[in-house]
Amino acid sequence: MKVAISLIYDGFKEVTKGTTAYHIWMAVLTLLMLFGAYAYYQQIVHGLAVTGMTDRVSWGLYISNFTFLVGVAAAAVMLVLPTYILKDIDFSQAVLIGEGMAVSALVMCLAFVTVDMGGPARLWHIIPVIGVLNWPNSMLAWDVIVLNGYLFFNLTIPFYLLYYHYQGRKPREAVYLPGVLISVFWAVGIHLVTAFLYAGLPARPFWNSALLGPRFLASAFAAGPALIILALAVIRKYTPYSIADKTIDKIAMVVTVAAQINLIMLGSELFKEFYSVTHHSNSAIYMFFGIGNKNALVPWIWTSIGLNLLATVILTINRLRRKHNLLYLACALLFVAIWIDKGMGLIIPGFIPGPWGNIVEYFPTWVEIAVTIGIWALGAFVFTLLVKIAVPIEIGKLRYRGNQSAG
Amino acid sequence: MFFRRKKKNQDACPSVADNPKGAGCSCRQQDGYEQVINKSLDRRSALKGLTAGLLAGSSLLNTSCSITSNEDEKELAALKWEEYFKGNYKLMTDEEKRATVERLERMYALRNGGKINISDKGPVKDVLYGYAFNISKCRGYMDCINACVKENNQDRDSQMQYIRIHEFKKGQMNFEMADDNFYHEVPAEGHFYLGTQCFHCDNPPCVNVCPVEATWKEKDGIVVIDYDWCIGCRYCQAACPYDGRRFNWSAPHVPENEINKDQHYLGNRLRKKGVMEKCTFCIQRSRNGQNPACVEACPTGARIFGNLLDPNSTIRWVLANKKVFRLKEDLGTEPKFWYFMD
Amino acid sequence: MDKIKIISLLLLLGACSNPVHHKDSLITKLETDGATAVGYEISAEQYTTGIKKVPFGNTTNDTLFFIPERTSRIESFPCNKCHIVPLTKMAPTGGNEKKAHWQISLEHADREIMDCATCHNSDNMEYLQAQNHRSISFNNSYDVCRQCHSTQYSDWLGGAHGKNINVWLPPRLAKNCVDCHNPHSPGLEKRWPARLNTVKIQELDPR
Repeated sequence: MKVAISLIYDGFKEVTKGTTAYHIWMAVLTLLMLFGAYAYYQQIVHGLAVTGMTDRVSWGLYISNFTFLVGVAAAAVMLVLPTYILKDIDFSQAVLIGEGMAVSALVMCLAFVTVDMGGPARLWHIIPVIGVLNWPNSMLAWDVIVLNGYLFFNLTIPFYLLYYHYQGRKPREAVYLPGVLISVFWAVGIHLVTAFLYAGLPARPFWNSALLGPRFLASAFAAGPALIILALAVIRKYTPYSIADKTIDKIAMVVTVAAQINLIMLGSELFKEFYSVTHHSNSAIYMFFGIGNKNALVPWIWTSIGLNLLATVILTINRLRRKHNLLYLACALLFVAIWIDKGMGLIIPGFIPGPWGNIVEYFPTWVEIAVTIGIWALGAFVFTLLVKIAVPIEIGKLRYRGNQSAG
Repeated sequence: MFFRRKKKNQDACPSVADNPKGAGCSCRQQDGYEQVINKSLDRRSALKGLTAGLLAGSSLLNTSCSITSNEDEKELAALKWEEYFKGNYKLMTDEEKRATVERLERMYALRNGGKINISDKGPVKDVLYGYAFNISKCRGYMDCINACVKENNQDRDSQMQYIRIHEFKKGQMNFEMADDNFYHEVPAEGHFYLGTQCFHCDNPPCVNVCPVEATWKEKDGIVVIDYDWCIGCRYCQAACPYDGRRFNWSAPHVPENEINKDQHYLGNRLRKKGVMEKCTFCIQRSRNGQNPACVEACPTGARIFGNLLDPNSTIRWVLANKKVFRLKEDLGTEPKFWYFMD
Repeated sequence: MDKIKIISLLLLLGACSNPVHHKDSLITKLETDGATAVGYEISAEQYTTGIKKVPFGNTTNDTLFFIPERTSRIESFPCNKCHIVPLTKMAPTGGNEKKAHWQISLEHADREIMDCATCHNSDNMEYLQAQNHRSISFNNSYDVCRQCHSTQYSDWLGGAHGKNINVWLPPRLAKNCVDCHNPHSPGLEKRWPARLNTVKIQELDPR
């Protein structure tokens, strides 16, 4: 107990001091969060009518970001798997970072789902025993369970490791390894379940595809580790935490393979939609070419395809991938490409055309955009805090001094 | 600010909505036949007007007596508290159902000073509701929608409507080519009309997906929503292949004098911001043996409603004697809503 | 390791599968559950009490349903308040006096085929008449209509044509032909919709 209090105390001290750049970064994030909170306040007061969503397109920017971020969270598994189970030492440096990212992504996921609710005050209805959770019928009930479970694992395992490292002790494998094992499968689970959330709806033919789950996994294992590479690059530059080139190269390999598989799947989807066009292809036609004068998604999806191709080419050619600056560029491009493709490019066309063929477009309002930015800032904020505490512990700078001071 | 875009001026009278181009007003001369019909109607509506006037008068009195009372504020706060922590209607005992209904009635009296009647009537034994729609008869008059909005206390600001009437060019039945947004005299030359609403599927995809079981199929086949249990995630709206569900994007508003005070907990009682709603086959009417408002309002007799379990019902006659079809039958949803032609 | 992965996936999928689809089709269920007549525990009489009903009188059938009584709702009934002599003897004396039914214009079928006396019994104005000159009460005017409109008539008997009044619950009370159609001009008119679609209202009135 004393150790835990000391850890919180030291952690708090650690996160409140830093370079000017660090303070500016945190101040900017705080401002963005406050702005998001103001926008959300407007939404609470006036209802979801202040968003661009309507009865015809009833999910928008929030659920798009939620879907994407579940993928980012799941991707932490790509680092956990080799580190703990295959004992691949190169990955272990990155694994705490990856788990920190998973936690931040999950916080964002839960925040996005919450802001999308019409009655956030009634969310307790979903808690079993005091409420009613429609499990196993509703895929959303599954998602609630797996996301919270995943959050639990990704909080407790790193906390346990840090807690022991903080005291200069060696964590016991028998304690954390079972949790690690479960969380590996759990990560695949969270993303498949999220895919099934959409794939299980025959009402929306654009989503009602068996490929959706695998495609989710492939794109997640591209976008998530890409983000981790970028985060590692920043950490490497601004903190004393040393991350070997080899680590980054190995993660880059993961990103490359996932991006290639993702492209193959994208290709099969396009073939299916456009080789023999049925009225079920209308969502894809709307997204890629527009229907009539309704073409809001066209520039977005082509940007996404372009970035995706470019990034995959850079990653695939060994000589280019090994140049770190190019690698970072490719990772950034890929991340943006998949964010568009899996967010707006998946959720919005699911509703267009509507069940009776109506084409009603969706444009997010400033409230939605502000809340979205606020939540991303929240995620970055949480991630920065976690890293700020984890790094000094990992490099041995931050250690429990309770015994000395007591003695 | 941008969000003002959707906020409606509540005082403005929805003139376009209620009377486009003087619709409904029969301007041609009445002949002897019409006088006959109007005679009985006039007497009835006059009586209705009188009752409504009396009710409004008495409620005005009520309001003026109790509006500023501190006791009332306290009682309202206590009731709100109890309402917030109540359970899912589906799982309530009969006493709990009665209690919440009484609380809601009392809350309305405290807030608005009038009396409303909220029913908690359960399904009638041996009844399974079914609906048939004659696409040869429908002429796109939209009287059904008018009646539906008034009966079910739908939000006037956002002009929420449960029913959509689709106008098809003759020669095809492709919904993508149909128009539910027509603006001309009806029926238009060379077109036919088809109405959609919640089909009360026997195998409803919306019910499965709800994470909190706030929507379910009652014994009499009506798919209902507990507006107080719904958390507003809109998964059901995504799961419905028939565009049957509507969401309260902002706080719904019905002018006090237009509120239908005969209500049902699962039907037309006043909703709140951030919850789903939809057609309930006018549960507050149908469970009393009455026809839904759309059936009653249809001037062409295109809408037929009844008990599917009664072999002598008109709906069963239609199923047995007409060539019927349902929409998107391939999804296995088994709508209890059939279409047929003369 | 891969094996574990596959097994866990299968477990996940197994738990997801939802056994609600397609036990029996709805129609099969109706044939079994809805085979016998139901005894209703509720009554909806209060919703039709204001309406004077007459049994639908078809001599070959038992009474199937009720229709609204009509004669008491005709303003100038009985007709012998004016028609004390047969129609032929009521020929106008001069050219100028107002005819009693001046506002009626007959827009029903062809003028060559139908005139007032096709349906009205000119010998006894209290009654309508059939092609074979049988007198028909105003209450049973459907017997006049069904001489030509036989498919509409059989649909009306079953319930596919016309409207039930107020209630779905038996006993059935159905509108008579003339409760919807003006027999002098039976077609429904073209008019503006009573209300416009949500989107159209917002387009026209963007507040």
